[in-house]
Amino acid sequence: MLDILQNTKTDIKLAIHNQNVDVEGGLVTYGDAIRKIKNYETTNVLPAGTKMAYSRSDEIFTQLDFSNITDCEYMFYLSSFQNVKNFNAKSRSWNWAFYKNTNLLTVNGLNTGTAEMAWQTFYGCSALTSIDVIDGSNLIDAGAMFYGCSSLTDFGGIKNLGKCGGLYGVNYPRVNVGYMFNQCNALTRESVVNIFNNLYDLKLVSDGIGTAPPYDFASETIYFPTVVLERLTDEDIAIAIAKNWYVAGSNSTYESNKF
Amino acid sequence: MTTADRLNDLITAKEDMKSAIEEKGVEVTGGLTSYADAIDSIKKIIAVKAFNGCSFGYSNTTWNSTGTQHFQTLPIMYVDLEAVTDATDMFNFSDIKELYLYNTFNVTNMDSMFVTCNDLTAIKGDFNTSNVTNMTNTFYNCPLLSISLIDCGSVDTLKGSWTLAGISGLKDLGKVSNLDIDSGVFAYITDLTSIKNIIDTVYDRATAGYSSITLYVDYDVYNSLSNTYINKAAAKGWIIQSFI
Repeated sequence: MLDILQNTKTDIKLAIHNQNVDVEGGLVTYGDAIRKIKNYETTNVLPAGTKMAYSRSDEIFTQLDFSNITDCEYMFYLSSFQNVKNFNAKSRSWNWAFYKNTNLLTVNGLNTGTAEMAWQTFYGCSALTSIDVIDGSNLIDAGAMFYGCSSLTDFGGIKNLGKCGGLYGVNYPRVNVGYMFNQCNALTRESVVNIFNNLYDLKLVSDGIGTAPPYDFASETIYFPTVVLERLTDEDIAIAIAKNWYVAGSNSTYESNKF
Repeated sequence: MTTADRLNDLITAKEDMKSAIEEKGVEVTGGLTSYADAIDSIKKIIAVKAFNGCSFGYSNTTWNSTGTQHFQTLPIMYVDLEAVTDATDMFNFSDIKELYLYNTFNVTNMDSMFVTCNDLTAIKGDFNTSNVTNMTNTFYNCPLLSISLIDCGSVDTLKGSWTLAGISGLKDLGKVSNLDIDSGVFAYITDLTSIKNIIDTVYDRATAGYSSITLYVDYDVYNSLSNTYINKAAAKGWIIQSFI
């Protein structure tokens, strides 16, 4: 009988110890030891479905792990942090992800490899000055993506923009780039050349309309503010044209009427 | 110590352990030999680390205007606020149903902390408000939320308005002599019992010699309040009036 009691006591002590609480005294102290067991643990991994609209701190990107996030739509809507760094979510939609963060200055390490929709992702981020190269291999909608980023000077471009598309049907543009850089009047020549160099070569794909190569190549037109186009040389624009991307000026006054 | 004493100690220790295990949410049905397994099964809730300046949530009242509803929603969230002193705008989650908050004892600012959590029904975990000085709009537009008695002994600023389904009381509200409070802050709480609970638990400013404070309450609540309660409030330095 005593042996059973002794063994039970040892088992309970071990169970408490396994819950990260030390047991110093006899059996009468075990109740208090059990009360010290923390029935929660802290993690920096956000559960899927988390949104962080209205956030104000750059620490978000150093303190939290977004790897479970699969939907960035409205993720940081109306937030006011200044710098994005190594944001590791894997989302199809980036629509309105950084919508109207007027304090945002820099974006680095954005994991957009799975992004398909990026409508108004940075709409109205009027203080944003630099974004490193982002992956556009799966983008089908980049409409108004940088609309109103009037301070954006340094941009690494969108890698493989135009590679994915046609999900709307073969008679539609491969990728929606309408209003993409409206009001981005500060873009440097180097940034636009980066954009051209990263465009996908549409001569590698068919638009499904023509009868036979070379007549059925896809093509797209990408628009920039006139003041930006004036900074480019004919050689710069030739980089885009060589990939069946046409370049045009736009002073469109499209405004988001969604909100 | 006699054998009987030892036996009594053993029984006491056993009952204490059983209570402690059950306090952790585990039902104990067997004898002492089952306690180790019961302790092993104490659940570990995983709480997300929060910090100053981070905000969880979104408000879909505007965003639904897209006509599409493809947001994922979080019905329940677990958050550790040990590193948080300023919880301004921390939860703005129109779809959240329950929040489990841990280590809120360092929070001093709860300005708009649960603003527009209009589906939130409960705050669970350890919601310690003893160091909070600012409760402006803390429960703005939380019409389904019922909360237990909260400590308001450090609150010096209480502006805006709260909307709650129910509250068990505001312990020591008004203990700060120069409390900056909007008189209509509770005018949208339409539950009579909650207003009675508030009157029962606010600080006795009259006895402390502090200036009196006027509070407007919902018109129907005011008409349902007995003179006993209105007089009870007045005796503590709180003037209750009807909000038109």
